[in-house]
Amino acid sequence: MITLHLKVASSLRDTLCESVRESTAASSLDESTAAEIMQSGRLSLQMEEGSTPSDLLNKLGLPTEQRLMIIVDGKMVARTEYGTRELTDGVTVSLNPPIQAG
Amino acid sequence: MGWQKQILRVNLTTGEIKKEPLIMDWAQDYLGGRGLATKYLWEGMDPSTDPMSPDNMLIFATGPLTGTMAATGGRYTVVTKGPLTNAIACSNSGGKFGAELKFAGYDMLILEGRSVKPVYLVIIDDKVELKDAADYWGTTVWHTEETLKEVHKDPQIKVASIGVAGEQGVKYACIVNDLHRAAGRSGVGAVMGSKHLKAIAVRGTQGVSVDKPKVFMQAATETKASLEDDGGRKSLTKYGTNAMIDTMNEFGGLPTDNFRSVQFEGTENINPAAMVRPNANGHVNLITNKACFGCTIACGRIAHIDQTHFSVRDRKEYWHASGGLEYETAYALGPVVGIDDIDALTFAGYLMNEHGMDPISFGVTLAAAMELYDLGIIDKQTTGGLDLSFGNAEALTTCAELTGKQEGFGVELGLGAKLLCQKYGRPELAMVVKGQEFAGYDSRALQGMGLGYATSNRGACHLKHDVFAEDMDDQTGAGKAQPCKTSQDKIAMVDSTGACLFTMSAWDTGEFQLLVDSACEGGSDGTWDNERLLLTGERIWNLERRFNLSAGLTRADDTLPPRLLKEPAPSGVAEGRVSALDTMLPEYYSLRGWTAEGVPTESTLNRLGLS
Ligand code: SF4
Repeated sequence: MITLHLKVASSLRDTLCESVRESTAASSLDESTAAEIMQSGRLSLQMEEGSTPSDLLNKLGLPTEQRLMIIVDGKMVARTEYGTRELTDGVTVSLNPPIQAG
Repeated sequence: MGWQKQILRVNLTTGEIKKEPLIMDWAQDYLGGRGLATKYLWEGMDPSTDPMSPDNMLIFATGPLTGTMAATGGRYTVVTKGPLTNAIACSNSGGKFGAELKFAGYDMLILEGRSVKPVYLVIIDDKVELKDAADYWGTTVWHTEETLKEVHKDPQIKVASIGVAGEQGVKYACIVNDLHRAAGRSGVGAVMGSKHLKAIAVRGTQGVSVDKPKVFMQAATETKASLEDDGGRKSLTKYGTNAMIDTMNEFGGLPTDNFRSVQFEGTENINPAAMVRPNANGHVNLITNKACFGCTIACGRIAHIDQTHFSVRDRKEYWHASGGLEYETAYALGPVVGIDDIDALTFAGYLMNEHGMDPISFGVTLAAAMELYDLGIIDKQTTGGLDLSFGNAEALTTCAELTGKQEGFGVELGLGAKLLCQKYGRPELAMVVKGQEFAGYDSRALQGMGLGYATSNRGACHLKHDVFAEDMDDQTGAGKAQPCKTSQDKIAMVDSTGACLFTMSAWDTGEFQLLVDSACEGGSDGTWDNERLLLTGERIWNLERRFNLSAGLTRADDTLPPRLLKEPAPSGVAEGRVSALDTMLPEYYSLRGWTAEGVPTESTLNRLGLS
């Protein structure tokens, strides 16, 4: 197993909390963890070795077709690599909505 | 139809008020709003005119969708020559003022000359009058708007006004309508002040007709439905534009400490989560969201300040709810000056609206002053005793107020970053293009954004192109010129319809075709199809360019500050990169059909009907 440190943008936290509660990751997530995500946007998660960003999105219940911006240890993950890029133990995975005009 | 086919021309020197038919041939070529006003400006004045002289024209223009049932159809644009840039200025605003001007029966209001004494303009349908503004001159936007409603005994009257900043020529003074919506950029408020025009109060009771009512109703319904389902729209409604602050911080494109850094440690204190999180006193910053006229997105935020906060503790007059943090306000009053005190940012945002100033330009000017202070080029003697260290929230709120009132060091801050840095011998510290300060996207991380900034006709601006998807996918300059050019043309068209560009999260040219073609007659060109709409946008972009070239701007003005061209991004996904403007710009010129010097060729002008 590997441990991933998630960093979730504020505007994804509601969605993530709802979907995590309903997904397979729910066993490791209770109300206080959900509250913690809402508060700080942080969550540590165990995954199988060799997991990819797509596996992570599936586990979190976030649709892979949703246009998200994923950054691993400060490096951008191209959308084409979501299914192939292996996540390694201890990395920080940052999940963000796409860039748009503000 | 779509147009009211009537414009109002007011000569402030002579006091003459004229109603004129809209020149429909021009409307068929430029639609309305930004495009049509640019055509009137181009035909009506010498581009080399001093922006603050009476000969500058100030145009308030609605689009054919303004005041209709189209979603977000409440926009208007102010077009003039801007004092911040000495280039064309086009500044777009929402709220309800634009629709009201249309309901009064006018597509456009053209202001010329300069009144001898301060005046305000009252438009109540056909009845148009200039009135003495002596009682309002020297007062704030908020006082002016609220008092005019009382004096005219009509709470529904819509007001666009300037504060002392506009009266005194602050280079980035804006025109504020509906208390906290603004034609914010390029100093259009200073032009209004130079004309001694304090406010425009408008009330209209006429409807807006469309060309094919049934088709239009169906188009309005269908396009609203597509907005309803769109993820980007949902995010704007729920979180506002400030959702972008987390994304930009993670990406490494969030300008911090005058662009010395691209990531800010304090985002968690000013992001959308912070806006709804109770503080130690149980105070929650955000109250609700708010929409402009006819908008089904409602991206606006309404907030209030903790009454125990240093900024308002003894000032009950600021305890009410007003405009809250949007991304650009949060960036410009936050990271770029190193501040993460949400109440200080919100209060400074209030002051921007109350005194009529562009928060982006103010914040980036203050950031430049903070860097000058940090380098020891200015000191407390220069600042009137203020400690301008990055991160000093009290300096932010004090400077905002001093600038709004044009007192003390605020007079220097009112110059804008370019003139301030020039004055102290460090022009390279001004984070500007053509004199206008940057929005909250660093062009070392967002290369297409950098090209858009450099080529924007109104100086650094994030709203005149859309290369976000390409910039997210790739951090080099490759492949950015084409989407930059195409999106500039598309947005020029959207800005000319009277709809909000935030619809573009869900809508493409096809949706605008449905709306515009059913709202407007097509003239001799027949229908308003995709091709015609995009060609219209391209024509507008090139006419703006011609205005700027005639005003004396050159290729040398299509550039970025040395920091972005030479100092690598210190962190983030683009760590180690500088802007690739030198490779993108020639490609962009070529795609535009311009010479290597950035001048539209004869064949380009012919193709666009601009010869
Ligand atoms: S999306 Fe926002 S800025 Fe645009 S019209 Fe709606 S409320 Fe106004």
